[in-house]
Amino acid sequence: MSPIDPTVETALRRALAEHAAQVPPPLDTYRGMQHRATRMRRRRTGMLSVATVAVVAAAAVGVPLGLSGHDHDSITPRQSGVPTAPSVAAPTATPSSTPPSTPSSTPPSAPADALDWAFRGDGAVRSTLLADAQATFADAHPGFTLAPLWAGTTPQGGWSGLIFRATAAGQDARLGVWIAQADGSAGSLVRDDVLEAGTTEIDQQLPADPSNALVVLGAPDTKQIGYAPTVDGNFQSQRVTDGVAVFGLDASGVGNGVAYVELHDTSGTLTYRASLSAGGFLAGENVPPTSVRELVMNGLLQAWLADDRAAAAKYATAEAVQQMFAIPRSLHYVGGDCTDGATPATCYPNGRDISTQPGLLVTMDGGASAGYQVTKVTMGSE
Amino acid sequence: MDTKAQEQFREFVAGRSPALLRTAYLLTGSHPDAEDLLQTALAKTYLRYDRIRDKGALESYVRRAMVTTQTSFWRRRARGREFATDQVPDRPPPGGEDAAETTAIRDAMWRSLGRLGARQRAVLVLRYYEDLSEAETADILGVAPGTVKSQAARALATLRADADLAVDFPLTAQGATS
Repeated sequence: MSPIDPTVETALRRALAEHAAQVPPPLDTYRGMQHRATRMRRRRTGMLSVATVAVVAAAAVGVPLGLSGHDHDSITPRQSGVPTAPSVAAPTATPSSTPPSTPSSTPPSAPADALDWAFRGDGAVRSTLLADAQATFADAHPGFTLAPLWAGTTPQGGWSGLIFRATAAGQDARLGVWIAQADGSAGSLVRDDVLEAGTTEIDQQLPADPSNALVVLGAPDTKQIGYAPTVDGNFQSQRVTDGVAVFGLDASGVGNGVAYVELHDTSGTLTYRASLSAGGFLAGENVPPTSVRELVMNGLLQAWLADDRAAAAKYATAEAVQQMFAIPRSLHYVGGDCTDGATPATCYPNGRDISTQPGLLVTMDGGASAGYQVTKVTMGSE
Repeated sequence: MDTKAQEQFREFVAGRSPALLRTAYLLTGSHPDAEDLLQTALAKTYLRYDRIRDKGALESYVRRAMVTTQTSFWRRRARGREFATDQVPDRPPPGGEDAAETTAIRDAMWRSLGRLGARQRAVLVLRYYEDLSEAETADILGVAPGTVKSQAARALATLRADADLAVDFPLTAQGATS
């Protein structure tokens, strides 16, 4: 590699300093942070109620562990009834049909640690991807040995992925994910985290055209894997034979909200449950798109960002669509919450506390059974 | 978190937020995203405050949370590969030709930064704005110092080769061919 041109470094330092100097002081970061922390806490609390939402309510004790750097919020599994597994990828019943949890005498299970997992998946894909993944990873972490955990393609076959464990004497084990086109070209290392001891679930989103996919790896004895795009959404559950499930996602699949994954072992014992935050998914086909306020908000948001008024009309009145599309699409809005319980509901697509800074404010009427509809969109502060 | 700890954290936020926000802005490229990133990182730190033994390392903890959040695959996917900016280009600056050229170079550099991947961009921000050493940068990113070195070299090479800078910044083009 040629020596670095010092003029580039000088210009870079100047550009960074000058742009940084233009940043106005924050208004009330502490208050905004407190709101954010409250929402994070609420999400965790909300997850505790997932057991009454999930159809695959299950028994016993599990090992909820998140992966480093992946924004998992784990919860403590509780004792509940033994699940009845639905057919592969079939939509399950609505949250209200979930029977209450009941104690079980099933002994606690101990899923195998990811540090001990053997390879699962498509050996041919592994062969196609491994050499490139190894070369790139060695550049970042010399001396590590790669052990593929899973390889496969997305449901439409557009992309392939390799999830691997990397180890080296005296160093923390690492988890890597390599994705590439189906023929192995255009590969890139999209994940490189510490693989903590005790990890019993690994999930990874794979891009695909026209849709996205979520790969969930559980311990090898995992027999059922559930996925729900929001706390209020239905779980899609797959019976699995090797502890791996691949969920196809909606084409616009990378949106907002919080997704949930849970795993059950052979006895039906819940062994893992976690939220996948920081960019969940829009509703899949199995989730009525207007029954959840956040999905309505995000449906409208995505339609707006795509300049698709017809799509926006599915979620909002004509007047609200007009209001929304009168706002310049110059900012990136992700995440966001709605107020609890009240109707009309107030939602914040930008996920920020608009009492301290301007943002989008979405108001909607309706209910979960009849569906929600956005009736007003404004831009401003409270 | 007890009252005393809360007050300590509030003082930390009040004192360090302006500087942290500037770093967040350089990582994200837009004011709303920077506010969003900073608040998220602070909230994560706040929720783990009791478990952070070295309170003197709070700022480093927040900075690490910002970088991790910004470079996480999920977040990048959620935001796409676009680089949001609320800078308005092509506005002739006051101050004559030299000032115009300086501004053009700066803006070209800024646009080129926006085309880098999140991790490479973070490396440059930490190394050339925060003036952190390779080892300190590696610690925040959770990678080996050698990785920081190679990522920085690649990122700078990308900047040198960027068409925008080749046009707006002749010195860069010369450097690229040397």
